Amino acid sequence: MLIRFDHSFEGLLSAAAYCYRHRLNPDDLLSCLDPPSLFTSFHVSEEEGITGLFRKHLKSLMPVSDAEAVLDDCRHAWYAECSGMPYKIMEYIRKAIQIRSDPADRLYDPCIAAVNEAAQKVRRQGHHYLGLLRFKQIDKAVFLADFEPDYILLPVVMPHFCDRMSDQAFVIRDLRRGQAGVHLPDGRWDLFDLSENRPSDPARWHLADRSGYGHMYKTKEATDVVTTNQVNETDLLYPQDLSYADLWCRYLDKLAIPERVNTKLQQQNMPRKYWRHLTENPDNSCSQDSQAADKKRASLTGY
Amino acid sequence: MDMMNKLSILGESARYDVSCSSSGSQRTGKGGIGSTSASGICHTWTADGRCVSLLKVLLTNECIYDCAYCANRRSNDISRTRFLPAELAELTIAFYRRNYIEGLFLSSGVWNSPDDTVEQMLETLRLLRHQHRFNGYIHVKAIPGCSELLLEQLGLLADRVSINVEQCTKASLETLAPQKSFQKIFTPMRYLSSRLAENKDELARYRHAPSFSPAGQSTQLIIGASPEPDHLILRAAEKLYQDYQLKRVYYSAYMPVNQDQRLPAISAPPPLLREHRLYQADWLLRFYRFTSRELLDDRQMNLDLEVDPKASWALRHLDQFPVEINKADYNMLLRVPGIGIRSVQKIIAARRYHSISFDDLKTMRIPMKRTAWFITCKGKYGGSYFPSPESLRMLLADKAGFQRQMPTQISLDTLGQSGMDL
Repeated sequence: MLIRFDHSFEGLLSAAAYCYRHRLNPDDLLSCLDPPSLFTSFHVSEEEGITGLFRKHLKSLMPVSDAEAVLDDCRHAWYAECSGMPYKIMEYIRKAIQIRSDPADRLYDPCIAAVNEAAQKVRRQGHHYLGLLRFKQIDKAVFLADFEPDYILLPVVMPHFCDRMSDQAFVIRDLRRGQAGVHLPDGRWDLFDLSENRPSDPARWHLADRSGYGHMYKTKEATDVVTTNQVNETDLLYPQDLSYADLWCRYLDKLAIPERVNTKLQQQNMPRKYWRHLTENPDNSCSQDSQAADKKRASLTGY
Repeated sequence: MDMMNKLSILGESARYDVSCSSSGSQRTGKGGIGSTSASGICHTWTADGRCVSLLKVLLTNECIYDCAYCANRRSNDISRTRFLPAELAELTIAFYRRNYIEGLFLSSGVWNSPDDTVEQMLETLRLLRHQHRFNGYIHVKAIPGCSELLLEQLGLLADRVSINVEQCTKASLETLAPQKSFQKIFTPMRYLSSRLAENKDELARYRHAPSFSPAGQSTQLIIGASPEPDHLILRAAEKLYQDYQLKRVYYSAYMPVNQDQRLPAISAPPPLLREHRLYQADWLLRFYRFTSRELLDDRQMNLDLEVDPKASWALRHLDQFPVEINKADYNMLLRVPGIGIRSVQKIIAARRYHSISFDDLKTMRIPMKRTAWFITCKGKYGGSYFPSPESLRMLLADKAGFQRQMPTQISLDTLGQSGMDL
């Protein structure tokens, strides 16, 4: 038997709770957005406050930090958008409840290892993007950043930037999924779809789980920015922004020591997939011919 | 001089200071702009592969000292300029808002006197912290010889205050940088370490005690400018960690920037592989519970360039291997080449529940390529037969890297290609 759940982390947790309560062992756990199957499936709808319920239950069984770690691992593994992951996440929670400790201690189990690995991938790329997102000033008081992550990273990245730039209005757009996170100077922030003119159906939001975030807002200015998906890049830049971008590119060129130029190492640390939205895109840099410098360094030092 | 030129000159002058981390301090963004992350965040990587997380600049590259190894020494004829504190603060905030940097790394040449220079640096920090209400990361390099009052004020504003030792023996410091002295360098460092210990106590006792340099203290040693072997450098680093409780010692390979009799030839290749091995040895000292005497001593004066220091130690002590994964203690597991701290923690956590086999190690993503030679799982040995320690060493050696480092066998072909004049 298959179980279908609403396409969100809360939907997945609701399905897992349903199986746990009724002692069901489904053949697979599929999201309602997955392709339809020939086999019978049963739809479990999302419950209100299911995450809090799970957190409370896990805290009663194991130390608080372990309980938080289990939920974090599950949420991040969900953000990895791998096929077959919802079933593994359900197994992960089941094992956590059964052994009354953090399953991450038992990485010899392939299911636990898979969930842990997916969560690590999401966290690693999320941490990378904390440094690699680049903001442009598009208006006197509004900044914009674009990125194309491999996983769902807006809920991972937004809390950090809301704390970092708490007095700033900014928008971070996930161009691959057509979503944006918007933050206002008074501290409120939320996630929206880019294609619609108003905030989308609440059931489709991927809200950060910790309390204090996720307030609705209705001001016109931020919604306007969010609605345009196709924008002309040069139109957006506020005049002084170009000069700061130039300063930054020149500074980075001068910072590299010519005898140590090692484009292979640079690419190892910062893969090409991140270069597209970087202000200082190494493909466009105005430094000396990097291949020639690479060869010279290799011949001199062998490293 | 306009901002673009100033930034080019002062950024280029600061690039030989290799400290780059923005870690060690945790501050939220309340009341102002900016926050710090305890683990630090890398923002980009330059063409030489080094991470950039802070805006690393000199406040001025004018200098009254004449240190032989420095590109900004008094006797070099280069363009000299200074930042005004206000313009540097504004530049930092502008870059910060665009998420180019995590904060500011401020060093300086010595203008007029150490105290005058540090006062200018303090002015920049005050503008950032109080006027712009900047809560991001600030790493400031104090000038050797500055007064304790100024150090105290620096520490209350910055996240990390550090002083560069540069040379690990008195003799080489006197030869290469006669205007500095060990006393000028180590007196402020001693003050900083005692003040840090005092502050740790204050923070525990008083709720609203101000933080003094929350990310601690670090320093830098130059590798290759003077003829000390690796064991002296490592011993110096170990002493620095023990006596001054430093967070990090950085190693900067000497880049030949000056023509000077006291220094290696300007065409000599920079010792990059040696620097890399020293960083590996430094990690072993800090996290893997090695001592410098175990890694290097009078018999082995330099780190092996072919194999990493941990493998080199293991090859010299093969009587302690192979190690049984299911029974060995934490210290011995740390010493197995190829297993890092995370892997050791995974093993120790997992073996409470389950006896570990080689398949389990593979599921746990513990790399087996080097490790297999040194471990047994449930009694079964992971490697295969090797006739002698030398043959195992050849299997472990980073052959390609080492061969490129050493000069190739001279033949008629290579003379023309490499362009070396022999």
